[in-house]
Amino acid sequence: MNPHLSSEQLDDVLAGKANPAAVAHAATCVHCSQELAALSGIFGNLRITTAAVAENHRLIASPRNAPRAPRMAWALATIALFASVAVPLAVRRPATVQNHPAATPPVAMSDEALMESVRNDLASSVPESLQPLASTTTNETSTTTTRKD
Amino acid sequence: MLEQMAQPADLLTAVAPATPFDNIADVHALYEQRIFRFLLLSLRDRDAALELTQDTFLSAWRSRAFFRGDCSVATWLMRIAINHLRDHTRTGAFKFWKRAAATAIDATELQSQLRHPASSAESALAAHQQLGVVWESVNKLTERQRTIFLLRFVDELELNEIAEATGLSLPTVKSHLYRALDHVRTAARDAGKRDTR
Repeated sequence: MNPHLSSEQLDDVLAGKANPAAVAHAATCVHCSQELAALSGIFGNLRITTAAVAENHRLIASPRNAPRAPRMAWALATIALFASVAVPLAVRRPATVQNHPAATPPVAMSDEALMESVRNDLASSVPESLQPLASTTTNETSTTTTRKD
Repeated sequence: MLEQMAQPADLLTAVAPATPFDNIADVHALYEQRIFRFLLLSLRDRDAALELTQDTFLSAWRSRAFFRGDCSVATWLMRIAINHLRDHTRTGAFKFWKRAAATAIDATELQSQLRHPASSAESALAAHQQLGVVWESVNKLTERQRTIFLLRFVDELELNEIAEATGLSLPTVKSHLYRALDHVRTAARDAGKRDTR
């Protein structure tokens, strides 16, 4: 059997809630009194130093001075990436809108001209590409008629 | 932010019974330091501790209607903080950021805060080493043991207050606490033996 104080009894003594037997033992046993003194010192130092460190970190981490949290950094990176893609697209789109009206009339005109030429081709008995030949033959017929006359 | 949150609370007081959390700015001013310290020592990461501290007060304000005064405001807040801590440490992101955190606190930072106005250089060095050993041994405790150990020996909560804050039974709290204390005592004793060699 262990004659010294257990962790439960040590905690009770440290908290000042130990039963009289444990207190009496702590007062007479060198081993237990040394351990109690050591633990008391360690936990006291732990309380003091953690409070100081936490206060330093709290001041640094106050919302005004806080460095951005990792999640915030990811969110900012995502926004930057989106902006890098979206902004050039947004800038380019009005330019194409401005160019479009200027480019449209020539296309429309050429379409109309093309349709007009097709209509003329269909209307005329001789296709446009054979017009030079047709004109020479008409000249020849006119000359022959004049000869007959 | 907290001042803005307090304004809608004023509207609610007309229909809901008043709670200490209606004036969340005052509650924040009183308990923020304590909650942040607990979360910082549990996580050892300033950014994460700050985020969870804000989450704790936001949750407290949102669920203020459920506060019936069965426990103290500090215990209620601590219970919310412990729930947030548990949720946070379960995520995979926590494990990644724990490794990568630039704002993590270590033993040397703690030791630098130790002052020995009257002690000898030898005893000051021993205290430094013991503090470092204890800090590392606390890190090796299970999450539940560490929470209970910190609440007991840093926040100096009573055992029944710890039981309320953690939602555990008193015997369970005692069991975890004494195991944690055994672990820390052994580490401190081993460090003392190494120093005397």
